[in-house]
Amino acid sequence: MFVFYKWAVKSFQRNLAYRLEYFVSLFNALLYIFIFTSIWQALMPENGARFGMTRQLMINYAVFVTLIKTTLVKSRDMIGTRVRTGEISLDLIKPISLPVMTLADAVGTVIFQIFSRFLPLIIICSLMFDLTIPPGIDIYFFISYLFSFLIFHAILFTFGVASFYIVENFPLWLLNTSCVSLLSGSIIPLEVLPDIVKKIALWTPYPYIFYLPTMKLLKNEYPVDHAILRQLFFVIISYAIGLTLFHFGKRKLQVQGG
Amino acid sequence: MSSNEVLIEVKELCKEFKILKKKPGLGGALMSLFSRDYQTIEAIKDISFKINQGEIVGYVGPNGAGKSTTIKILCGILYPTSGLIEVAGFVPSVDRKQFAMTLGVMFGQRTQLWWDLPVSESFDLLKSIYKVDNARYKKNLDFFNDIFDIKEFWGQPVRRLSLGQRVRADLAAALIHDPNVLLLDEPTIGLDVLARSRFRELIKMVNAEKKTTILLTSHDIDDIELIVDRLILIDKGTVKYDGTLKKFLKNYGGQKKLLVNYSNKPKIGKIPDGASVQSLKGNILEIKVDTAIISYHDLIKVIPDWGKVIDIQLESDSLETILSELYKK
Repeated sequence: MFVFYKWAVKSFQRNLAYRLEYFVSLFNALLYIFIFTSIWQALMPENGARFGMTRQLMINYAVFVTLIKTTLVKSRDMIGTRVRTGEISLDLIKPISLPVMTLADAVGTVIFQIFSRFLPLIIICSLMFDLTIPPGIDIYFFISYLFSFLIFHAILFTFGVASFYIVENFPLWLLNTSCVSLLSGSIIPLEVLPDIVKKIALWTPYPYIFYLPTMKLLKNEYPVDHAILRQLFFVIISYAIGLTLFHFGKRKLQVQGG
Repeated sequence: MSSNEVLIEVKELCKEFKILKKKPGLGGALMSLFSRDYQTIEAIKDISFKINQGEIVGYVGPNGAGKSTTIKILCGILYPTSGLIEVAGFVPSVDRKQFAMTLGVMFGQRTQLWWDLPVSESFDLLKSIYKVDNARYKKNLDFFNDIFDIKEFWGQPVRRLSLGQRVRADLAAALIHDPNVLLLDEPTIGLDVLARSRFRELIKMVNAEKKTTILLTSHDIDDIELIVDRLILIDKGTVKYDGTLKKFLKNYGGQKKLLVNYSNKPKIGKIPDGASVQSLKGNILEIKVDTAIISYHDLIKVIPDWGKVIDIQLESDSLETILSELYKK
């Protein structure tokens, strides 16, 4: 446990190393919020509702989903990159398992992003938009957020470990990015999608990453029944798939230079 | 430095890789989208050796011989296709985590230090990972500081270190937990002459002080000549030689030469069996000697008959020449 904590702390420190990267990513998140809120401003009627949501609710959705996304999203495929460069050797010689290592790394990154990105962004957004304290901030939201993080980490781990089998996992990584964009609610809430797509989406882990916690935050109710249990189910399933792939993938691993 | 306790045992080790057979041309590339042929490559065919505790062994061979594959199997990173491996009482691929506590590894082209953080931070993390207690950590840091001067760049981010500094820090990092076994894969690659020489001293010092068993792969022949006592030569996945470096030089160093400097141009008479004139440049005669047929002693008796001798030099092939000849075969 202490090693996990230490690893997470180092990950936090590493994220602090580059000032320019930090400010650019902050600016980038602001741009995203600006783009999405502008789009919803134009699309949503001033009065009444569309897709079961008011204009203000949709703008709030755009702001909060981007804020949550800012804390969770990692743009780099750590495992895939390390398999391609052969650096995975250095991870596998350590007396710590790769899944635990990547989880500790992700925890450090998320904590860094909460403090360094989420907090300044929410202050800026509260000045720019007519934001009120969301009604859904309670223990269930934080449990939901924790499960979102775990599902997301498990998915990224699984797609990363795919590189043990096929080395060049970039197409799969792109596929995952597209699924996140379409099905997770990170760009548009599931209400906007056709019913059939929404039904299919709910059978995948993606809506439980961003859509579910954001809706809970904004409406103080979950958009589906047994939401937390469903999230827990996908946490277990996603890790089961990732860890199984990892277990068998170790035998298939080929490392550059041997 | 070695004892008789076997620390590394490799028996009939084989490793196969399945790789995609590329079809030539654009048509072939398009065809491979629908039908794929694979071929099995034997990176290691049948390798067996034992290494005793405290030995320094050079593991050499041409590119693609299977050196790095063996090292990665010994680390537990790759799984062998067949064969047995036991290192410090562990089967690396099975008991990977426990085994890793007894193992130090350094890949010359890669670093296990955190690139963006100061060196001290990586060591702090390694201390926790390898569960090194405070007293041992301090003792080891003092030792490494004495021989590696790591305090000189202790607070600098790894990305700012020179290659020589980075290699020293990586070597110290590989040894921070007092491993029984140290595997070095091309550790001096890219280092300048001074840094290489320093590195070799450090390795010998670590072996002498800590009795660490060391397996070294390197294409730098000086590393092998100056560090190791024993040589394992592999080629095409099989062991071609396993024995002392001295014996290797004796057995394979076939090209022995005598350089004889005469006061005037020599008048070469009958040349004894086992000797042949390679060249005569001015007054210097170069004679190739097969010591299995004629001894230096007998040859030197004949040489003064051809003229007044000023100086005689004995020369034998360097390890580099011997290895490059063997690699060509």
